[in-house]
Amino acid sequence: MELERLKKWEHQLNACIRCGYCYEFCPVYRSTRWETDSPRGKLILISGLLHGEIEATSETTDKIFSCFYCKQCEGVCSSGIPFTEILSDTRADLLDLGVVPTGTISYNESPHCAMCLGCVRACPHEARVLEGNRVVIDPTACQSCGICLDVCPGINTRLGKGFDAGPEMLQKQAAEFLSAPENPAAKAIVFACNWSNVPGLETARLDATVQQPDPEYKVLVTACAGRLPAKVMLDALEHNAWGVLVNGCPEDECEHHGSHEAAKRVAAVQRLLGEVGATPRRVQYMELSKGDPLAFERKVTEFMDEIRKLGPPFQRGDQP
Amino acid sequence: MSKPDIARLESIVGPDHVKQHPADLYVYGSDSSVHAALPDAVVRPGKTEEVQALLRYANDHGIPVIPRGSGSGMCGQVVPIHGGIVLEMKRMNRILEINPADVYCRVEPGVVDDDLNKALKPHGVFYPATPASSRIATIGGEIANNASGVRSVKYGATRESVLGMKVVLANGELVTLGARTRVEASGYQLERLFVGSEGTLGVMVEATLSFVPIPTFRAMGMVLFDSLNNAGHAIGAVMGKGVALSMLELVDSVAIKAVNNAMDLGLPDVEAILLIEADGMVKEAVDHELETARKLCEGHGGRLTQLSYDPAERAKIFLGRKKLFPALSKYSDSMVSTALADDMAVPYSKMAETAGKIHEIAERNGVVMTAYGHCGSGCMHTKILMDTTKEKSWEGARRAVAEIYEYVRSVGGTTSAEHGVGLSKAAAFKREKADSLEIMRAVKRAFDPNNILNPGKLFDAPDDWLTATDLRYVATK
Repeated sequence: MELERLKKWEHQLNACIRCGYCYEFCPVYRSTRWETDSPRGKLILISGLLHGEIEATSETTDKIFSCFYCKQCEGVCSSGIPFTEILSDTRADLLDLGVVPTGTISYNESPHCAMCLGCVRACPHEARVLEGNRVVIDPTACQSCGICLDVCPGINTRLGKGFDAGPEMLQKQAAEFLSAPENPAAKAIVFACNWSNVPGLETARLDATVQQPDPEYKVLVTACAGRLPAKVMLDALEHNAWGVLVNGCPEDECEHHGSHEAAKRVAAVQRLLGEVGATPRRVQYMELSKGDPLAFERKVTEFMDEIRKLGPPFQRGDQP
Repeated sequence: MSKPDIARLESIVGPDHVKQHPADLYVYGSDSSVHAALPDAVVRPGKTEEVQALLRYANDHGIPVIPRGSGSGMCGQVVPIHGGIVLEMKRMNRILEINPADVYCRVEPGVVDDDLNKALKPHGVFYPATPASSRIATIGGEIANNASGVRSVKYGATRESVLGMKVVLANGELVTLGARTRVEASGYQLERLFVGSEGTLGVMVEATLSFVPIPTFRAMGMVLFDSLNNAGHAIGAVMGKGVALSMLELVDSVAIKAVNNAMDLGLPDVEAILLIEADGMVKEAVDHELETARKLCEGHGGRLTQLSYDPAERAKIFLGRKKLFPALSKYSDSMVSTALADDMAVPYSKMAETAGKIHEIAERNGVVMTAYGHCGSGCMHTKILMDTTKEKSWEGARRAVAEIYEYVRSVGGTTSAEHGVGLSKAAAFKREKADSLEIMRAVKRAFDPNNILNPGKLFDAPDDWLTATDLRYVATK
């Protein structure tokens, strides 16, 4: 098996000291908790592919094509391993070998397409291109940001695996948290963008390990704030959330033009709430730069204080 | 050794918690060491009863079981040298009880060290035996290796914080060891035997740990030395005088260069830095310890800089040390850092000589080595930096490892201070403990007569680490 592009990365693959500091920051690992899905695990697999120690079976290559390119792993890697560059070259080599990409790569569910080219224009990574009379996806360019999802009028664009960060899964998790009898104090959902400031450790592990008595809110990680549909925010309110907070990157820091989309969508939901007589500020949008978990905590605390003052939905001023 | 029946494993823990695909086996065959070997299955138990059922099954069929936490060990402790079942314990990650009045907490083995400390913080206490890898290291792994860390100079290693535990034995039997009290004098303290046993005696499913108050005052500073030898003597002087520091860390010039290359922290270009820290409830007491340390270091040519009580300043000073290990691969574009000869402990009076020996041995064998570590607790770390793609590098590394451990033994030191033995240090361990190996083997037989628990490690590991398993690197002539 020839993996031409990968050869140049051998030093970096060896330089990874496999400390594992990366994997708690990875949304894919956080979803499955299998080390094979972590950045470290993927580098081990890539090393195995390069050295011919494992085969490029569909199960193996599915891991290589499963990544949201949030680059949180690169941010915490003191060895300076350029994980996503290595991953992209591995993908390109595998495609040359005829591998069919799966994982988190975007695709069109149906070959029937209105050819509005909305997804081609929206894709910030030029992964969707018009070839002949159809839209094709370049799996080496697709970063699975999901910006293409909500722009398709035919609801035809899809991402492969969601790893708990897809809209449907977020909607389900929010509803479960808000409705569970063991969470009597549940009041709010915080949709946190994985690219910007999701404080990896706080959200990744504490939910699972530290018992928070009577949690009032749940942090759910969305791959990019720009892919969070309005219906997911509204569904949380329908499940008696007192409020919904959406977090994205500052617009000039967003790699996917997602902040603009997210802000627009929250504004639309706020308008809708106002029209039905509810307090618009029950749904809010905030922007935070990468790597400031304390600011994240502060903003969430401020939001919760405001929501508590507002009280339960459709009471104290809110009209049914 | 027999192969596990996957359907049987799935019936015990559920199909979502069993993996047997080659990709998963390949990943779980590695840790942070140079070693690699394939297991037959990876299984994630979620509760004690599942661990019991798994061990009963494995024991009846002679299948190896290798308990694993986060796989951050550096000596190959969790590399399945004889195949078998890797028992990934991270699903068992609940903090069961925090009892400030009785000064203990109970946790499951998959709890990550930093998470425990976050949960303890609101109670004004902390778990002190924290290693540098606390962001990912699990309590189970720390206990299995008797981990220690930067504050062990004052608060001791893991063993000092373990009051008791529940362990599933090889035959599936669950036993409760130790107590929930500070002292205990009731027979053999088997819970202490399990600390550092590297998964060879049983599978811990619950630990009772003590903790200590978070000090009101904490101050840290850097002492710069133009001579590594002088820094080594300063360590001996400070510890010999009984100065109560809460941290005394050495960072040598190789490590300084690597950290500056990796993070541009602007660490001073000197031969050695000592990080010193003192803590306590009374500021004058903290000042006194640091002033005593300063004077002793100055007596050996050291210059104290950046002393600060400010948490942000302290964090900045400590950042280079915290990230030192992963930064070592940035020392040079042609070399990478390998987890070899990674830790040892020597008497304080030999600290200076050991630091010098490390560099002397490295130069003789054509590799680069660092000298750093928690020297206040006698612990010296190093790593071998080399071009891992060249066979001759590995021959040099083999000689260097043998020479450094022979030196450590000759001065009354020990093979491992806190990283354990696993595979890569087995030869040195066997030489050091030659007259007690038979007792250890008898203990192992008493707990695990069928030798299913992490077989082929410690005294049963091959003598030559270089050929003990496949290496994670591929080298050519």
